[in-house]
Amino acid sequence: MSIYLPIAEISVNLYLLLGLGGIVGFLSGMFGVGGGFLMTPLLMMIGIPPAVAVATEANQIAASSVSGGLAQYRRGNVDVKMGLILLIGGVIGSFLGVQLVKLLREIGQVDLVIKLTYVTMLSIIGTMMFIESVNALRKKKKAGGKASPARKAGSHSWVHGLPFRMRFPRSKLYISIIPPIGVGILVGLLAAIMGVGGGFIMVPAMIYLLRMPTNVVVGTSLFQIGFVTILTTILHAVQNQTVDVVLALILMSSAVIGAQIGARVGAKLPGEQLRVLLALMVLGMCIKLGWGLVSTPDELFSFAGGGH
Amino acid sequence: MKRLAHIIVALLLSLAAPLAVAQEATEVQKGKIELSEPAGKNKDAPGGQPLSVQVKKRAAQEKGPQVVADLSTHTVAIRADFAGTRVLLFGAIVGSREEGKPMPDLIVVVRGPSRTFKLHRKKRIGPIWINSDERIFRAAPGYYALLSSRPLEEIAPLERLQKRGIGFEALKSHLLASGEGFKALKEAEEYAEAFVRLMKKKGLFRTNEHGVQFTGRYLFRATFDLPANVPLGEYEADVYLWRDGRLLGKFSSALEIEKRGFERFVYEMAHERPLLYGIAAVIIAIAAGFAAAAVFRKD
Repeated sequence: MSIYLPIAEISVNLYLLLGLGGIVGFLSGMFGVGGGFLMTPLLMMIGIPPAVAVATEANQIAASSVSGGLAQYRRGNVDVKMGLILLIGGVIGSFLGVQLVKLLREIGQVDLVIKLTYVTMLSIIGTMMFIESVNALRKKKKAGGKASPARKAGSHSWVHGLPFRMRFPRSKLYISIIPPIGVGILVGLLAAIMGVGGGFIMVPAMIYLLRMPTNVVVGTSLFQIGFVTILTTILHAVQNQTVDVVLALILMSSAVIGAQIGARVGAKLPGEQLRVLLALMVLGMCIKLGWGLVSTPDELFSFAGGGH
Repeated sequence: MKRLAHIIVALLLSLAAPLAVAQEATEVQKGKIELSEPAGKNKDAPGGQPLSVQVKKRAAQEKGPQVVADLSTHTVAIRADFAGTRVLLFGAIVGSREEGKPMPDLIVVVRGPSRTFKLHRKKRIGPIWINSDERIFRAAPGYYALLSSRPLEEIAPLERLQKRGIGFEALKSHLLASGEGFKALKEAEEYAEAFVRLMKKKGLFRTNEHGVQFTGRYLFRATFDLPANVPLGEYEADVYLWRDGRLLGKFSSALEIEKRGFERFVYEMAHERPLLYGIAAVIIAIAAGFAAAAVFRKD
């Protein structure tokens, strides 16, 4: 059964969209990431214009982060103060990102920049995730099942030497607000340019850079992502008219269910092994996108602005 | 198809032939207003059909054969389940006794709304291919279907067809006239070729050398497909009647493709009240999130 998407202006198989939403939702629920970095390239692959894919994804991620964020909030896993600081950065980044998309669309380089950003981000994240999870697996074997916690008490890095320090009781931190704002800006930019929540950047940044306790990381990142994607959706709708609510609604209905199932399944399965799989998946997509940029294209000509 | 109906109507239509001439004249005027006429020598390129109108009027005076036609529908509504559609064009040759004469030829050209297209050409910079050159065609049809009763080159010499604005060669020369930013003719030709190639790949430019079929000597029919990605707007279907390489008559009818119902509502909201639309999109998302969290709540 086909459905016509009013903003994307193409007709797509409804079950394909539901399936994509469900699978990506499942993965995002399992790993606590938004799933946008998987969904946006997939949408482009099935023919949704890149600008529409990015803006609509922001809308869909808003739904899944509200759903996931609420669940985390009930369990007390959200550091609201830290979330708000991250959000300040997120708002700045989102504004800049939407302006940048507008500019890039005008000069016809939006596709290239989106793809290059993806290749860069996915290769870094994929490699880091892969090394980290393989190491964790090894340690686990050596320690006979007792993985050491990621956070070493009392350890300091350059982050802790910066000014404008603030106390974050929920995270048991007393750190400068510059790094969280910086992380927030980066994530806001990515939300606007790539159509991702940015969890795959923010979660490692919170653990390794800010040294937040792992139990509040996912909840706090969802808190920030929820608000940033809400803002990004509105900005894209106003600036570029590229938010397709019909597409978003289809994706969110299946992704929200997939995410809930994923979260449950993920809690019962060995996390490190799954993380290796996710890392390999991320690297696979990265190689595919990268290859598309360097291989000689069949068709040298293309229409500007998604081609319709 | 349920729309394959009432070919007999075509015969009734033959009574309204004078009316048709008037209708055609207005159609042509309309076309002129909508299309930004390229400054150039190609006055007969798609978009400007004054010549064929003259031919048509003369044909009427001489009481030679004329052509009348209609479409199975004059509006195509794009709704949620739109996955492309097929439109039937049917018609008749009227005003002359056809028996004993050589079989006439028919060419049907369906043209979508004209708009500006930007094209990029990729170039290798270092290891990656990037869109480097940007060229513009100011006025190009978003849809173009070319149907004929037999291969074009058998109907009339190509330059004669081109003069009437029929066929892809005519379309290309029209493109060249509306091109912008080109440094050389060769470059413009490459872009025009690429444009036609890309549009064919999207199914928006199509051609069928045997797309017009005769039923007996007077009736004919042709179908053309509008794919799901068809651009919205005013379409024009022109039927050209030829014999022995000469144009005998022309008939135009209009087709409109528009969004309807919910699809239209969403589209209009998004473009006319973008802030409200964005907020609504967000509220839907938040509601969906709350609903999911409530449904799946672990107690």
